[in-house]
Amino acid sequence: MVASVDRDPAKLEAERKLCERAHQGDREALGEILQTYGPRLYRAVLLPRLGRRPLAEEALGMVYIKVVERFHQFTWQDVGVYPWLRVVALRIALDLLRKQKREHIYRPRDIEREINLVEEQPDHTPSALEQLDLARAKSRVVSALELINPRYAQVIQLRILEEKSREEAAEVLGVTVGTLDVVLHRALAALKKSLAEDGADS
Amino acid sequence: MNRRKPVNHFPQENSIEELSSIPEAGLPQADTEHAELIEQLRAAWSPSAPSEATHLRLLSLALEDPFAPASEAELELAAELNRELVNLSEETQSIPFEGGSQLSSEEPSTAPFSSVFLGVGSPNAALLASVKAPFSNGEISPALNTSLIQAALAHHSAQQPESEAAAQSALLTPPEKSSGDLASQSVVGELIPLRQKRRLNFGFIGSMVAAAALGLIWLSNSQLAERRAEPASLQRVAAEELSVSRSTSELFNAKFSTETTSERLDTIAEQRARELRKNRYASWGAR
Repeated sequence: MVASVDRDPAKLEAERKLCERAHQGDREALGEILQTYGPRLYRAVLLPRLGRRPLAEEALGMVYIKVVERFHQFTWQDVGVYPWLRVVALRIALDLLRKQKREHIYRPRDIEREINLVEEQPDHTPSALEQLDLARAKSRVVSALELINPRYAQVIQLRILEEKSREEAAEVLGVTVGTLDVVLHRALAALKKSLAEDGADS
Repeated sequence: MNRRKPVNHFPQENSIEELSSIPEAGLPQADTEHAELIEQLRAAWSPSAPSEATHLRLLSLALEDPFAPASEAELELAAELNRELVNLSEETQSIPFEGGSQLSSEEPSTAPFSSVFLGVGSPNAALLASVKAPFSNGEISPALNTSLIQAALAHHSAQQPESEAAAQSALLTPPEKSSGDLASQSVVGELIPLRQKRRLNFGFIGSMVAAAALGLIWLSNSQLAERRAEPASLQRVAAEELSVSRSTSELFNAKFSTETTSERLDTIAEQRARELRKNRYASWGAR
């Protein structure tokens, strides 16, 4: 199995040959490519943008099907196959987000913007793209939390992101546990409202 | 003395409207390196009030008291949310939701907390999952990943025409040898599937038919060529023994009467017919 290609000429050449085999209909080679990069697509692109594991797993399956169907359209470039796979994954995530009825941190227009910026990435190595995708996803969460009351953002930060217990979070905020539960509930409601308004503005 | 009129580089009053329509004039929009500077210039030149939605949001942020006494309905919803989170925690058999570990926002969490949120379906938990996901450990299980890959490959095979799928499956699976196929295997190779062998057989028969057709065409052409070449063969025989066309004067030793033409023509016709028969017999070798 080939490892991720990080500008190593030997690995890049090995990946090129693998892609060539896959291009000629070698299913084993295509499976090897997916086996290599699928988990990275899942953790860096799909799950951070779709949020829920079942949805992200469904998306990964859709990405695989799309890649198998469309691999004949792939043209080899010196950056390897991962950037192409990443765009396929972004498009699948975009389609699924458009079908989502619930409030979601990521909006379709966020992914559209990411797809439009694909050509402008300074570094196309898989590890660099993964870091970029994760950083963007975190940045999106931070931006969403900035739109709500700082106290609400703080309780979400403590309970959800930092996974503090109710007692610990209540102590930090200087309130009772019962009040903390109420504040968390209000924080969620405020976040939903903010996302809904933000989505309506877009 | 002519004094040059000073040039005013600043926009005149009547150009303010033009400046305010800069976005429609095609200046660079967001996502360009100058977008921030352009935005600052516009804000300085023609500051505008915040949108009503933004204003309301800012007012709400300022006036809202997160710790205000809760209504009965809020208390119920808050308790429901907490029960939901605890139940999810117990269902996943992970570390209880209450006892979460410290998580740095810079590093993926390895704690099972993420599994509490990331497999849920309620609206509240789904939203929290989307908040949590970028900070969670998003590894997919290798077994699930492999099964998804196999499903994708199988899905594509099912979508393909039978012949293409058979041909591709032949590339991945070793050929099954049977006594009945040994002959064809020795001819067309072991990696060629049965359907392709049938194709080859059909191609072989087709090529044989085409060869036979070509043979017929060649034979007919040669016969036609022989027929076209008949006069030449006749000339070759005539050079030795065939009668040649000649003047009819020798047929008439005496002068014939010009008033009675039928006898003369009959004589010529009879003579030519006789010579023609002789020549044919000679060319056929029957003489």
